[in-house]
Amino acid sequence: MSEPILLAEGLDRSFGGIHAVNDVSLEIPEGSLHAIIGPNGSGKTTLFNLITGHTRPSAGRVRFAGQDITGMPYSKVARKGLAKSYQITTVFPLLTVFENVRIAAQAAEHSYVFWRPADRIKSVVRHTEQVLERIGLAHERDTIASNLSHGDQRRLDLAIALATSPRLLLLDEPTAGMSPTETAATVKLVEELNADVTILMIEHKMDVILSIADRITVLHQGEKLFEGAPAEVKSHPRVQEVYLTGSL
Amino acid sequence: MTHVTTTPSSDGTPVEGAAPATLARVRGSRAARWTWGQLGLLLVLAVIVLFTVPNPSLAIGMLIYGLWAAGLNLLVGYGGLVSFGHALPFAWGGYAAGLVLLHVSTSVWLALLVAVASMALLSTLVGAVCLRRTEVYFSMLTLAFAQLGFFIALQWDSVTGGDDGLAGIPVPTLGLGTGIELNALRDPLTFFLFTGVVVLVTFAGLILFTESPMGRVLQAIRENEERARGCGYNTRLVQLVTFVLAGTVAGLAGGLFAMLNNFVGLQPYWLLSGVVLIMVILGGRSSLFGPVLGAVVYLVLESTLSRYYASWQLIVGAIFMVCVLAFPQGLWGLVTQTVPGLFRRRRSAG
Ligand SMILES: Nc1ncnc2c1ncn2[C@@H]1O[C@H](COP(=O)(O)OP(=O)(O)OP(=O)(O)O)[C@@H](O)[C@H]1O
Ligand SMILES: [Mg+2]
Repeated sequence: MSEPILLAEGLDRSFGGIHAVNDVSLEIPEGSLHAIIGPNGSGKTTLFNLITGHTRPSAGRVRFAGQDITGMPYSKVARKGLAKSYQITTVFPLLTVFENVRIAAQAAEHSYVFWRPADRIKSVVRHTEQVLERIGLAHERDTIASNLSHGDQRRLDLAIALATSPRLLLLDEPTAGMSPTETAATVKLVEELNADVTILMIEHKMDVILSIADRITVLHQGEKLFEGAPAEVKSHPRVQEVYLTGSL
Repeated sequence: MTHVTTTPSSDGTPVEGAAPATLARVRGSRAARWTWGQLGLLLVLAVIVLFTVPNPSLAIGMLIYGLWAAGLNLLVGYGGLVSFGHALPFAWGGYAAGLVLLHVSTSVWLALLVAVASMALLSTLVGAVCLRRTEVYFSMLTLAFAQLGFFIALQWDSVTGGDDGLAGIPVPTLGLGTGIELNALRDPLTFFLFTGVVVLVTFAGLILFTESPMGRVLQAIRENEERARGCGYNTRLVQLVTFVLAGTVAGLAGGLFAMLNNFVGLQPYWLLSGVVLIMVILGGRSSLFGPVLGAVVYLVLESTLSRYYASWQLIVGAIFMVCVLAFPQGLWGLVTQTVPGLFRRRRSAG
């Protein structure tokens, strides 16, 4: 079997007295849809930050696409093909939806060009339009990002990540704050995207994730409590105890 | 305080105040024409200045200050990086050009080339230090460098002339077998036209930069640096390139200013960091043309008021304050906002 696209080994990080992530390992095979669940404060976002280079792990290693990326700066990790969408919406607020996505779309090939107008680079414009179409924001292309509804801003956040054409997409609660209809649409979208890109996603809504994930990791107080297929997670007694009953 | 917050209006149209790219992109490729239209606006403004400003030295000064302010706005408006020390590159350019003309050659090309090239180098070093910090700390570092430059210029009088400055800078020649001299006193029209061409060409370069992928990234960084990093951009590098570009343009402007006055000294060169920033804010940060307009308006106010009142700066200061409070988007922002009909017609014509 080929090497997994992402391999995290023994990741560890404390903040003051809080052991936010405690010896967590992950193995994500190419093409899979892997979910991370866990109660509030269980270290999910911190685990993402250790992978992307936002936060330095105090122990452990991260390998991405066959390369050690431990301690690499975030922008460099991103250039390697790892994109992240944020738990708290992070977009370019005063730029249009189109420009938000175009900025991400040009990153792959035309980052630092300064001798020709950006709008003339047809391949980037076309790619941007495709992403907007796919995410379902094409009709909002000229809207200023901060004027979008909450749900659309969440989707724009995802569109920016997608437009960089990543090999691995990290999604930090993409449905946070969404209505049930919006949630359903986003879940369907994530499932569709998984046809082209490996996805590692944090999700709070248990029912959402059980139906689409290949594998689920349950975090509890920074530790990996359990990992398995959705059906196993559902029936696992400890998971029931700390997670299902408590937070839903 | 380095950010004047602007909220987009509810109907989804952008507010002029803070988002240059927004305006350009908001209606697709058509509005992009308006971006280049700024070049036309500058040309029109230059012609108006040529025919209405009686004092040729003032008219030429307007072009030079306009270019300097437009360059600064790359940092302030497009990059969200407020420099409090933009007198440094202006003065440096002045001294560099002055020294070349005094000691090496009277060629205008050589003098400007040295001003620009040496300033690009210096900007890289200064920028590398200043950009280690953001927001007000960045501003403070730029201010500190300008102060440092001032004291070096004051102390090192064997080179800089110290307190007296460099007087009697020879009249530069255009060369190229033309025998044309750039003499602001005897032949102001030639000087004006030469400056006009240099300013227009440089201004076109600035427009190209703001519309290029890198210029767009600069604006994205202003909006959200974290996210720009997440797209894979080396955000410091983009900001450094901008810093160097703004510094180089200021060096060019300073070199032209030295030729205009045949003099470089502590005054006014080193004292203009605040003035050029006022020009940018007065004219509006959301375009390149705004600061040029701001420079012209500022200089008109200065030259008119200083004739009647010894304390004219007080009045200019008061006017500036009212402007900032009443229309933070600046004069040009005000025009583009309140006369939308004008722009709609332009757009459909384009
Ligand atoms: N930068 C930081 N400084 C100090 N403490 C932090 C920091 N980041 C996270 N923590 C702490 O680490 C723990 C894990 O936080 P984290 O954000 O990773 O949880 P989470 O699983 O994403 O929670 P949620 O479901 O609320 O998003 C929390 O106790 C949090 O307070
Ligand atoms: Mg979280």
